[in-house]
Order: sequence, then structure tokens, then C-alpha cells
Amino acid sequence: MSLILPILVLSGIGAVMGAGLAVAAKFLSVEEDPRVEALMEILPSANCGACGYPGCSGYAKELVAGVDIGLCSPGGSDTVAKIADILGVEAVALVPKVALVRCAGGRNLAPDRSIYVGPSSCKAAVLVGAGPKECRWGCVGLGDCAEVCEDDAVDFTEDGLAFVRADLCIACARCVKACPRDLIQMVPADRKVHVLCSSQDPGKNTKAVCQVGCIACKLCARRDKASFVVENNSASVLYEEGSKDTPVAALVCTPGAIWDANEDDLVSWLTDPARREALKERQAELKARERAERAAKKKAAAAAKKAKADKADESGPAEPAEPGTQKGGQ
Amino acid sequence: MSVSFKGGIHPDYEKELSSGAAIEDLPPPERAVVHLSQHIGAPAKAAVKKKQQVQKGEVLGEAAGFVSVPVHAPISGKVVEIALHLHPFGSLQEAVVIESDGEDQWCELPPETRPESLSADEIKDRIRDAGIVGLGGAAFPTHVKLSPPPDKTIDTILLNAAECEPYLTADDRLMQEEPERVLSGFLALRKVLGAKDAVIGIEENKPEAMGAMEKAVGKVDGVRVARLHVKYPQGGEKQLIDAILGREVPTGGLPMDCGVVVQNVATCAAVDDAVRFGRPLISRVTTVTGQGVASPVNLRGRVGTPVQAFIDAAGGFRGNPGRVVLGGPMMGGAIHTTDTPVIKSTGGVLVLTPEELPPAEFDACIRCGRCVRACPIHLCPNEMGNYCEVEMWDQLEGLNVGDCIECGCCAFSCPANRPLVQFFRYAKLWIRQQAALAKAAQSQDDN
Amino acid sequence: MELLILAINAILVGNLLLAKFLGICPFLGVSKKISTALGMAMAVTFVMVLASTVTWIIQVGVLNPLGIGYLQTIAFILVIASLVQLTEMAIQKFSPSLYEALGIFLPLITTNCAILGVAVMNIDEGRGFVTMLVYSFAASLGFGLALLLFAGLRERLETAAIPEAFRGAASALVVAGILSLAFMGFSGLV
Repeated sequence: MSLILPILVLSGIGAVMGAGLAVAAKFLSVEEDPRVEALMEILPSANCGACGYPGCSGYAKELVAGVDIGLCSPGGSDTVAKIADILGVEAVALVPKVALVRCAGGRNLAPDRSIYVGPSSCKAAVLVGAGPKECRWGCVGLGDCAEVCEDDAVDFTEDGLAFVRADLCIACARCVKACPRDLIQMVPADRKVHVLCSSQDPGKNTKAVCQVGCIACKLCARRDKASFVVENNSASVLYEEGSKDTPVAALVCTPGAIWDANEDDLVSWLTDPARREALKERQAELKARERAERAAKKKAAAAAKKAKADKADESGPAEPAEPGTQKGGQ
Repeated sequence: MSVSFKGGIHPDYEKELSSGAAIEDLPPPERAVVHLSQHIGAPAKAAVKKKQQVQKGEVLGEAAGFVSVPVHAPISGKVVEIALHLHPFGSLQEAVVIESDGEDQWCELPPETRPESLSADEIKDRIRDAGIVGLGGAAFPTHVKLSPPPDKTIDTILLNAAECEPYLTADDRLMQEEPERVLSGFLALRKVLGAKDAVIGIEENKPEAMGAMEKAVGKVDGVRVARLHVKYPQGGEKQLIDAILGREVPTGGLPMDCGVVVQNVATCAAVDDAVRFGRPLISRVTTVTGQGVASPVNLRGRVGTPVQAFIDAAGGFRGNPGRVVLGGPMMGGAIHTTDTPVIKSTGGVLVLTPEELPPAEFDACIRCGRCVRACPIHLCPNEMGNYCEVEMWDQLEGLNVGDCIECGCCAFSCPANRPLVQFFRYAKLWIRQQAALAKAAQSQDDN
Repeated sequence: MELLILAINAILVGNLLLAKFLGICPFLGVSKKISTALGMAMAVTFVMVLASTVTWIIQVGVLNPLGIGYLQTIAFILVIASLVQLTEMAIQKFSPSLYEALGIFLPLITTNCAILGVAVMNIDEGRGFVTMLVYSFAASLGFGLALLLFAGLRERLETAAIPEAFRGAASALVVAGILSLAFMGFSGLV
């Protein structure tokens, strides 16, 4: 008896409570798709907002409603595959991305025009006084992007220029939203050639305020229409599917606003003055080589023409030496 | 017996530097950069083309909307460029550049008319066409102030002759030298508004100006001169109304919500020119002063003249300049190059020496409450500043940061040297930006 | 009069959080914003009064007559867990935003020692039904008061220039200690 009684009492309490809960569940129930919970399990829980929805739960809810499943860049392809599995749809390929600060003008290259005093935030500096930098498109350097980055991927050069360390970046795109000048762009991680300037001022103005600003000379676009486009006085790389890197384009950029990751790593590209010298040398080399090639072509064409003429007229005078050949050798 | 408001501060006035210097004319510039945005509201729309020949006073930009005014050519010559140029507020703005032909020839102007012979509407039209804005610093289009909605009656018009900003003496000199002109413009404005009372508020530290104005007023019906206590910001619209009439402008409201319109001395002088001669606003008196210039002066300069010309006319820099400020030391904005052109609202060019500059570093709030005592709007700058600094916008709600007039009393009195005005400006702009974003999102949802 | 003294005692002198140190988990977890703290306080008030009532009835009406008072703890936990479930469902239904804000702390009320503590104390002190009701309600008000005060302080703390190492939980604990010291000043009030 002394054993059965407690068991009975407890079971009774449990039964009453259980019944109460069952009734309550009926009246207070909230419709929830079981898939939402399943999706919450596999999403990375970073709540970063890269997908454009408020947190992972927001994305999970929208996923069930049928939005693009390839929006979770921190999760990567694995997550996309799992999402596709849960929702029973076809998996899509997710291109891994990294954030890129599209400005190369530290204080040494794009000087400040004034001293900024006020709240230590780019947003505030830009809103209140149009920023301390002479260039009105460039990086303010007060670190709004670094503040929102939870992976410490945003760093600064000695000259107060923000840059993203690609190895630490999880592509959450928080910094993209934080930058008041919209300098940060998500780019495919496998691309190596980037334009590091966002200035939309006419070339003349840009040149006056920054040594490495894009002057919209269109040399890059002329060289490779498929990869570069110049719009609003600003060159940018076409990162769309199918386009590819053209390292040689980096060499034709007169101010050196195009960075080629195959040649330099980002930090030395941004900070080391020697790399600009090296770039100039490489540019000169390229120019010389191309000129030589052009000259050779011309010479070949001329020779062919001459041969043709010779065939027609055996006694034609000898062609003078091509002047470009000598110049090209310099 | 002088009147005043509650709060405020007593900075060093330094008016004696330039108060003795009579107004001189600054020669017209060789090249004038005339900004199309010289007022609050929509920037004017360019009405001239490149290479076009213009006469002095010709319209360069048409008003774009009701809260906007036209902009006129300050010199005669050729339009060489319509492009982005540095604005005194720090950003690049569209401006018309004119190269002088040396003639300085007026365009065709209407014949001289007596203000008494014009109707109220005619006066208002002339004021709008002359591109007149509040010359006290805010540059709010004057004709908008003269068009109260029909449900609001204006019983009093105030002439803001306090000139409470330290250093500046342009209004002081203008009243001493041309009191009739100021008064005539003021009376024309009263006529437009149909206001019964007209009060001229002058701070006690300008006895000559007060004497001149009292003499000019004489026995004009319904006009009186009020002595104001010397205190900053006595010349703030809301403070002036509080001091003279004891009325309070409601939160988020305008002086016309309590039956008052306030006009500045220089505005009145410009109104007289516009009404009497039909001359547009192309020049104004600007004080060039500070320990950093050789001989402080009051100059009548053309709009679009580079600041450098003003400094040259004052004998150039004395020593190394620390900071050049357009406007007064309390509310003026620093510029980074003296190539910046002046605009209609530039009432002062102040050059501070490096020693006079406040330190750039600031500390944490020590909660001493001096700013609360100094705030003429009776806000809590300490709390507002703290929340702005860490961007806690939710908490900022209900502290009425939008009512801040950015007078700088709080920052002046802060022992921790906190840039409170910058904080509040940031907060106001941020709130406005968020509101715009919310509105955009709303309209997107509707579509 | 006695009830009033009991209430004041429960709210100030014997404050659950600051004098008895019960329910510290939500005290530190849900006190970053006043609005969520208020939601938590209301949820705790609801659960505490209801749980105390039900547990008192079970103890006095079932366990004691049957002589199985030793089942107290396990039976109480059972009751509290069910009630928390009920509250959770209600909040999720009627205020999804509060549900999101409270997050994990809502189910954690189940193991909130303050709730069980009050239920057990009511039995230990041998309180009658009315006294029990007054005490549980007053104790939960005291809980809410301390939570709101602390949340207000923490909001202020956000604006303070504190050395990096003391930011967040460290300074919050220091403040909690000082607040507790301040509440000690009430001892001897009744």
C-alpha cells in the first residue's frame, strides 16, 4: 500500500496536468511547419542576415514558403544540399564568396582633408560631415565594418584603410550593410582580379584626390569586354557566371587600381610602396612586349606584302626598316 | 531693464576686434563660384548654359519648388562651367562658375519704387524673385516664412538684432551705418504679414546700434526696441521669442505656431534692396575676424567669392592659421580650403590660431550636469550624448533630440570636451535617414 | 496589517533575487533591455502565483492527508513544469515577439529555483491559503522589481566608458552585488 499510493498519486497528478496541457495545446496551438524546425537544426545559427532575412529562423520560415535555397553563404554547399534534402528540391551550386573592400586609398594615397572629431563611427562621420577623406567615395576607416564582423576578418592598414582577410571571412555580408559608403562587395572566392576603387567621380576629380583611384580610362574594358565594365565613371569586374579572370588587365590599369591576387597578396598590395614600383615595371614590360609583338606582326605583314609584290614585280625596291622595331626593344 | 531666456552661456565675445571697422566694399571677384544650393530646401535648377554671357543680377538658377529660391549672377561675365564644386558645408554641390568681364554691369532692373506703394503680395513676389533667404545662418527661404497657413494669424514680427554669436559684428555695423534701410525692409516685411506689433531685439553690448535704430524708429507706430541681456544664444529664434514675448514655440513647431515671425537684420536690409530697387540678393556684409587675421574688417562681398579674397582684404593671416570657420565660433562650420566660395548665409569668416583650438580628444561624461543647465531648449544633452555615442537609438526616443537647435552651449560648457553637437547632428540625420528608409519600404510594400 | 507586513517583507527585505539569491539565471540572462525584463517579470509572476496555489492545494489536500509529504519536491516539479509549458504556449500564441525575446529563458522557468523555492517555503512556513497567495504574489513583485531595476541599470551601463575587460557580464555581476548591498539596507524595516 505504502508503495502503490505514491505511485497512484503521482500518476494522478501527471494525468491531470497532462490532460490540462492537451486541452491547452488544442486551444493555444500555433501552426508550425515541422520542416521549419528541421531547417533550424541544419542552418548555421550565425543569425548573420546574409540571406536577407532576419536571422536563421527568419530564413527557415521563408524557405518553407519557397524562396531561393542558395542564400546561406556561411553554411556553404553542405547546408544547401541539406536544405534541398529537407525541402525535397534540387540542390543548387553555391559559389563560395568573400567580402572585398573596394577601396585601396589609405591616408598615404588618398589624403584626409580635415580632422574628424565626433563619434567614432563611419556612419556618423559620413552623415554629419561627409567624412574626413578628400575622396567622397573612399574608405573612412573608422571601423563600422570591423565592429559588425564577428570573425575578426576586417583589419586595417597603418594608413587607416579597411580590408577583409579572405581566410577568416565567412561571407555573412554584415560588413556590406554596415559600410555607409557601400564599398564592400561580396565576390566569388575563386576570382583573383578585382578593381579596388568605387569612386564615381570623373577621372579628373578622382586623380586629384587619390593616387590609386579608378580614372575611368576604360583601358581594362577595352582589353576585355567580357570581364570588365565601366559605368558611372567607375570600373568594375563582371563576376557573373562564365566570365573569367584576365590577369593582364591588371597591368593596363594606369593608376593601379586593379589588384591581381596571383601576383600580390592584399596586404602588401595595399601597404607596400615597392609593389607599385614593381607594377609600373611590369606595366612597362607588357607595353614593350606588346609593342614588339605589334611591330613583329607589322613586319611580317609587310614582308608578306613585299613577297607578294616581289612575285608581281621582281624589281621592287627594298622596304625601309620598320621604325617601331627599335622603339619596341626599349 | 533687459530681458532674456533661461539657460545659455557667456562665452568671450571678442566683438571689439571688428566692431570699430566700418563696412567696406570687397571688389568683385575675377571668378565667382555660385552654388545652386544656398538655402534650405530644393536646390535651384540651373537656368543658364555654358559659355552664356550673363549680366550682374541675372537669374542663374530657378527656384525648384515652393521651399526654394532662385540664385543670381553676382558679377557680369561668361558662364564657364556648371559642375560640382566644394560647398561650405563640406560636400560637393552643383555650382555655376562665372568668369568676370570686368564690367560689373547690372542687368535690367525695375524702376525704383517706394515700398509703401506696393501691395503685400507684390512685396512677397519681389522678395521671392530676389532669392532672399534668412541671412542669420539658417538660410531658410524668406517668402516661405512670409506665407503662414490661413489658420495661423501672425500678431508680432521680431527683428533679430541680437547677434549673439561671438566675434561677428556684421549686423551691428549694418544697423549703425544704414539703420533706415534695415527699418524700411523690416516694415515691408511687417506689411506682408499684417502683424500689429513689431519689436527690434538688440543685445545690450551694442549701444551705438541700439541708438541708431531707436533714432530711425522714431515715432513709427507699433515698433519698439527691446534691450536684451547679453547671453548666447539670445539670437536663437525660440530664445528671442521667449525673451521678448514670453511665448514658447511648441516641440517640432515653427515660430508661426505661436503667432510670431522672426527676421534677421541682414535679411531686412536685403529685403529693402529687393523691394525698393528690385535688386536680387548677390552681396552681403561679412565679418572677417579672429586672432588669426591681421586686421579684422567688415566687408560687403559678393556671393561666390572665394574665402581667400576675404582674408586677403583683412590683411591676410597673422601667423599660422589654426582653423578657418565660416559663420561664428559657436555654430559655424570649419572649412579645409580657402578656395571655398561663400554663400548667401556666410555672415562671418573667423580665423582661429592653433592655440585657440579645443583639443580633439574627448572623455567620458562625468555627469556634472553643466550642459543641462546651459541648454536653452531645456533638453538633457548629457543623456542624449551618452546614448548617441553608443548608438542606442531606442533609448534616445523621448529625449526629443529633434528639438536641439545645435547652438553648441552644451559642448561649450562640457568639461570633458565631448562633441555633443556632432552627436546630436548624427542622431538627427540618422533618425531622418531611418524615416526615409521606412517610408521607401512602405511605398514599396504598397506597390 | 499582518498581510501588508508580509508583502513588504517579501518585496523588499526578503527579496527573492537580492536577499535570498534565488532565480539568478533570468536575473542575469534577461536583463539587457527593460522591455524584455518586464515580459519576464510578468511571466514569472503568473507562473509563481499559479504554481504556488496549485502546489499548496496538492500538498495540503493530497500529500499531507495521505501521509506522503516526502513526494513534495517531485510532485511540485511536475506541476511547475506543466504550468511553464502552459505559459510558454500562451505567450507563443499571444506575443510571438516576446516569445522570441525570452528565448531559452522561458522553458528555464521550469527549473527556476525561485518558483520552487516559493512553493516550498509556503509549505515549510505553514502558511494558510490567503497568506500563501499574498506571499507568492508579493515575492514575484519583488522579483519583478529587482529585475526591472537591474535592467534599467544595465541599459545605463551600456553608455558608460568601462574598460574592455569589465564589459558585459563582469560589470553586470558587480552591479548586481552593489544592488544586493543596497537592498540589505531594508533589513530591520519590518
